[in-house]
Amino acid sequence: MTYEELIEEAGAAIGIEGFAPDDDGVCMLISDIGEIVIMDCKGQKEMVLLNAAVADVPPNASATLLAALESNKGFKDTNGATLSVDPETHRFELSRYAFLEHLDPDKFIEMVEKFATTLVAVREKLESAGDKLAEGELPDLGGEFIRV
Amino acid sequence: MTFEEAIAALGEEFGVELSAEDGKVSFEVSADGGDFGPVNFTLTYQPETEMLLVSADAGVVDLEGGDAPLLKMLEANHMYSGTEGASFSLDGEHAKLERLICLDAFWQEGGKSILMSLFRSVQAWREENGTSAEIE
Repeated sequence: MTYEELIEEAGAAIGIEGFAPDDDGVCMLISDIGEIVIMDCKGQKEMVLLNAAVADVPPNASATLLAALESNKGFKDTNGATLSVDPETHRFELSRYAFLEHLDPDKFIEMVEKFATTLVAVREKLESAGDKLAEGELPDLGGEFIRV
Repeated sequence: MTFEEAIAALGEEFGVELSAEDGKVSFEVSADGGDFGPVNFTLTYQPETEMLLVSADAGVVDLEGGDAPLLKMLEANHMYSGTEGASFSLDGEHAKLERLICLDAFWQEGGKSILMSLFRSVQAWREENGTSAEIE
């Protein structure tokens, strides 16, 4: 199954007729949780990559950066996806990829649904980490700190 | 192929004897002439999903050194641009570079090539950040 066929069949299965990527292999799902960008990556093995914006990196970012890196540990909190920071936009993003040969429309839909659920959960987690800092809790940076 | 068989075959690829215990195996990989120390790997099999977590210890991060090292790890994760498809995470003070891959794909892709890809990324990370291994 080609990438284009996968997108079209998965789209039809969720009620989006004619769902198709653009000439660069990119398409997008838009909902109230934000935009999930779907990309075709032709490397040694063809991959399908999902990417979504999570939140801006706040000015005092230690707690949220730590929370993001801890969420990535063992992929447990991210369901196989990865939290990152876009160096250009200075924004947290969530990404996940799978090899095209391992996907069919059902598996792809499941992957997107799980990704969307994870997006909401990690967004809440990062916001909560930022809120704790704003409330005056010191981030756990592993060292000793003295509150002044 | 079972996890135990995959690990034994991986050992053969490296020319050493490897055996898994309780779905887990840890070992060290070093390169001749490498300036940045060996890399400690832990492979953990998750039978409920038939996935394999490959984790490489990139060393200790100076958490008192501000946001810069944390930001660098997260930027390397962006579109997997600095990680060859793996992900940086933090386990206590240790930076980990990890990949979650199904056991069949690990075997088909060649376990050694996956480990060496992580090894290269860890060495590049250590070189860029002036850190070396602190493996306990």
